[in-house]
Amino acid sequence: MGTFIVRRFLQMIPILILISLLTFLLMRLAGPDPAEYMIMLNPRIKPADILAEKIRLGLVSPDGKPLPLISQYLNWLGNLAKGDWGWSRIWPNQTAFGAIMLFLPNSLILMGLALLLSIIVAVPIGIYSALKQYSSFDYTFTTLSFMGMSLPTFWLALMSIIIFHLLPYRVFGFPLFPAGDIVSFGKPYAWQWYDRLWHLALPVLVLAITHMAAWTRYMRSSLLEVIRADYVRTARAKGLPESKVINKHALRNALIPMVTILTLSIPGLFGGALITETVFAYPGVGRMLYQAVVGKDYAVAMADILFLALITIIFNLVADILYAVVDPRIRVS
Amino acid sequence: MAVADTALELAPSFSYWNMVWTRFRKHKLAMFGTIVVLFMILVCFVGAPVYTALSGIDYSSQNLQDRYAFPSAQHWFGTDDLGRDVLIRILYGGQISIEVGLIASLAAIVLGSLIGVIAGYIGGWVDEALMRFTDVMMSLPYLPLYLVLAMAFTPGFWTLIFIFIAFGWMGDARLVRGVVLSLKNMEFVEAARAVGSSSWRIMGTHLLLNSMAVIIVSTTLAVGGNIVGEASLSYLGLGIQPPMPSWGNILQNAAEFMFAPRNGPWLIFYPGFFLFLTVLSFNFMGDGLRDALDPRLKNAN
Repeated sequence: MGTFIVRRFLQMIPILILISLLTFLLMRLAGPDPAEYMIMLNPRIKPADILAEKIRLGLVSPDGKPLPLISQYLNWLGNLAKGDWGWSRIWPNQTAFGAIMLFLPNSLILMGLALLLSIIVAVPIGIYSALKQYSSFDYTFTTLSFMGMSLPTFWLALMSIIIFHLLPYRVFGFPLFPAGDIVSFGKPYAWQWYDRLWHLALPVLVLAITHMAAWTRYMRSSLLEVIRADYVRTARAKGLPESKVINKHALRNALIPMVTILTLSIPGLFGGALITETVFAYPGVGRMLYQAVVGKDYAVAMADILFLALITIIFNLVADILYAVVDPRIRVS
Repeated sequence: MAVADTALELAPSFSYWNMVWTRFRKHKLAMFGTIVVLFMILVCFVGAPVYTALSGIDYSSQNLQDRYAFPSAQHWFGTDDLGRDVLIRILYGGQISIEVGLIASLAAIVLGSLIGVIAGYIGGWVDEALMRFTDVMMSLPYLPLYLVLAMAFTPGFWTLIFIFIAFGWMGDARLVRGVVLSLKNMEFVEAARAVGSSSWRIMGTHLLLNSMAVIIVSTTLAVGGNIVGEASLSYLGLGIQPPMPSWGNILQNAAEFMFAPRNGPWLIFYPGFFLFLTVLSFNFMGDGLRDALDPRLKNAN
């Protein structure tokens, strides 16, 4: 087990190097000089300051000559390692790392609730579909989950705003749910837990629905596979009651791959949250990345992409390790 | 499946493709999908230009006297914030969306199959290197990278297609490699080698042709994903740029004016519904093709 984990850790290194290199090159191609861009909004800046900033960022050598891309990249990595992630251009007085930490809790709340809701709905439906394969229930929910997987997230988000905000507002004069933001700013009850929940309702619902569909299908096919296994037939043959066969033998084994799928889907949740957060103007890391990219906030965009890449890789690793824990056959190969 | 089995028994002399068609026809949702897709292609690529030729109204024709019009006989889906006909914009937008979906998926499968067949057939360090590279590409956070890539290059039609190819080939490569690995030690490949066929000929004719079932299914399913991808990026303003319409930027425009007093909800409903219906139809088609081309794959997923 130990060597397995160490080997998987070592495999992360080339991936990290490639991602950081790709991120760096893309942002250098995309934006103009990050130092000049960062200071552009500040009229008191002198050319000497720009040069100093460029030297600090490792874009030019101390005597003012531009460095080749590869040394710029190495300097950037060095700065990252020293904890110098650069300053944000859009969010005043924030380092790139600080900006991520500012928005991360919001994202975690949104994704946590969405994850919970989608599991609570998807797992029982998937189980029931598999147990009643080819029934009208199974057929209905298989078709529905197909539809759910074809739903564009941003359209679902917009339609939920229309149905729960715009139409009630036009008909009754007040919205059922807010169309965006995180709390009712300026109201005495802003930041109360119910105010936050009220604002979270639509984004959580949208994010949950987009993931529910896929999980229903995974759960269904996972259980179907197990139900056909020899040991389930044996359990039935030795005369166990059906409830015991399902609960003790089938279900427990069917949930094993679900753990892996769930772990692997968490980085994707960050990606899906990007669109949901943007439509609902919800201040999370996804929307932050979008604003940073559009606003050419060089340092924040690079830091955010690296952060997301790191999360992706870490959860891939966790999924592999979890899988090896629950299924010893994996470790051998 | 009992249905498919009877079809096989009734039609012993049919060719492979005849059997595929028989099985496909039995799949109601897949037939629904196929009809919708054909209908969409017809109205977008034929209907829209014909309408423009007859009435002189195209996707950019504005009528500022007639903004936010209700759906009517003249404007079936109403008009938008500049008095443009929403239906005609949706149809022209459909051309772009479907083109992006098809071109990107086809190109990605060509690239993916090439990498998959080379990795699988040649094996050794080539396989190792190609598959490690595939793993790395698969672990990249793709949506954030889409954003940055769309920014790095000028956003537009070919940029979108480039992005979808660059991030779309990995799954195909793995699938094709898997099929090739299972085929390459079979007798027909050995026979081809014995009569002196070159490696390229074996890969090109024998292995790729026998991977066709996987390739066709994967391409069809990718089209829907790419259409949603196009719409999402265009919605964020990083895809197809106005005045050229696409389903994504029509929705973006509608969302921008969502809270305008006279704005109707249908401005958001219709383009999204076309998008949803098209994506759903391609997915139904892909599912039906999977069952029809290779019934063994049916429960593999």
